[in-house]
Amino acid sequence: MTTTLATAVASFTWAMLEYMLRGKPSVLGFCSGAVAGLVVITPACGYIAATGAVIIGIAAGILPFFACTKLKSWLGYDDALETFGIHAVGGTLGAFLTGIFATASVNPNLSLSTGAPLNPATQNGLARIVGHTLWIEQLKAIVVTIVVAVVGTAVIGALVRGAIGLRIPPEIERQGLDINQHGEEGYITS
Amino acid sequence: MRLSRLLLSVIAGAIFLAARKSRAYKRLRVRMRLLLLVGTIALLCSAHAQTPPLSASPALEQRVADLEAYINNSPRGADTKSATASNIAGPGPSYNAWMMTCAALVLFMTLPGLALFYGGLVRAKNVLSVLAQCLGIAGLVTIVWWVVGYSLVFSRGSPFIGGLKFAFLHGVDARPNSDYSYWASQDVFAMYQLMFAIIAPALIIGAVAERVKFAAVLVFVGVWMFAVYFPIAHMVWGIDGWMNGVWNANSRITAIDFAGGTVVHMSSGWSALVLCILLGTGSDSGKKSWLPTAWSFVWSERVCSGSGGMVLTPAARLRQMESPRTPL
Repeated sequence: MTTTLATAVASFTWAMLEYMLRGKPSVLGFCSGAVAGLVVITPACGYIAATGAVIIGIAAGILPFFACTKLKSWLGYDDALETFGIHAVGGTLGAFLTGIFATASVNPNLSLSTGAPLNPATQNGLARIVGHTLWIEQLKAIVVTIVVAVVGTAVIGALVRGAIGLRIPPEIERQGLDINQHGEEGYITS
Repeated sequence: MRLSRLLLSVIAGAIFLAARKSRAYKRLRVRMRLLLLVGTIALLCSAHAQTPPLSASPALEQRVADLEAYINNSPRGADTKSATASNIAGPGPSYNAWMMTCAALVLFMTLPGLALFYGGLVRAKNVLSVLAQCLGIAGLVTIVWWVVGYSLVFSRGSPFIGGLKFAFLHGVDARPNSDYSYWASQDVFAMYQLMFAIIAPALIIGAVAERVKFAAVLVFVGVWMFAVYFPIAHMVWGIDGWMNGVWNANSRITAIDFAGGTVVHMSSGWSALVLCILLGTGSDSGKKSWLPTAWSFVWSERVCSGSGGMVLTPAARLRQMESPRTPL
């Protein structure tokens, strides 16, 4: 339920933003919005109620939209198919909003249990911070994830670039990767 | 049981004798013999089919409790310390069926969903390269997952990375691993989780499409899985993970992540940013028309991912991983 709601709301929000700002809602906008909604709801879907899902959907339609349209040209990186704008920005937003909207009424794993063998969430203190300061823990997890991903990729990427090179020569890039890298063509144009 | 069998044999014997003595029953004799034969075979078969009783045969209450455990996705007799062994020895068929369905749907997100989505967004001359990269990643990650990947994520080890207990999927069979599920088989669970490990690196392709070497993709992903995906996935989802607030009573960061916001989307998204900066701008990126070559591709992604995989995936996790743990 939460996943469906957030996806639909985000898809609609994204396209309506395009409608307002560009004058035309695009099919790609509906698709990107749906994917963004799925991304942002991912960490939250089993922990939140319907209203939280709709709010997350709206946020998912707005923030990744501006990340893809404004941030990309502002920073000047060439993220061909918006992986950063949708998945990194959306994933980070979702991880944070999970900390805001998570509730024990949806998932008993987050509730305080008083029986003899305690819930892990009760033992490590998670159950006490749900609905209050869980977002601080989420921020810590966000920072750890970003550091691991960025440092790991920077090191590996530099190593691979040094060893075999990441990029194909420009003339092959103009010709296309299909014929040069894989020896076949999907569409014979011209 | 034995008594009833004895009783049945006596009755059958009596009927047989009666049939022999009375002339009126002569015609029925053959039929009676046949009946006796069938009855004997049935009795033998039933005796053979009966599994030998467990050392501590569960009482009726325990057996009802096992059925309730199946419905509630909570531990059965054999999983708890105090109770006698459960009569239901194997995994729960419905849980496995659902897990397999969801594993297929999550795979559909990458193949063909993501492959066709990204393939549809690049220009016609690069469509196949994106498909090849997605297929290459799916194969490579599956092999790595078998060798050591599953073990590094889901076996117990340090808070940051798992151990080698399940290397080469050793010991990963039809029995559930109660660290993660009470009823779904661990081999099904391992395949379900494999699908997440496949889509994470495949997402990175979106940032570097149309200008990256195929060999570079394979080498990068092969190392990236070990350096980024396995550690983060273990920290967030491993039973003794550093950031697993829901399962690990000793986690230092009590964060929650239901279906991979940090593990899949953030790890791949931020890696994609770094990689596309390292790679540099496409030489003719300013001239892109952004007319997808085939809208059906995009819709395939929408159908596969939107209405299928991601919607059902969390539900699977709800049942299997995050199910309410009744007190043991």
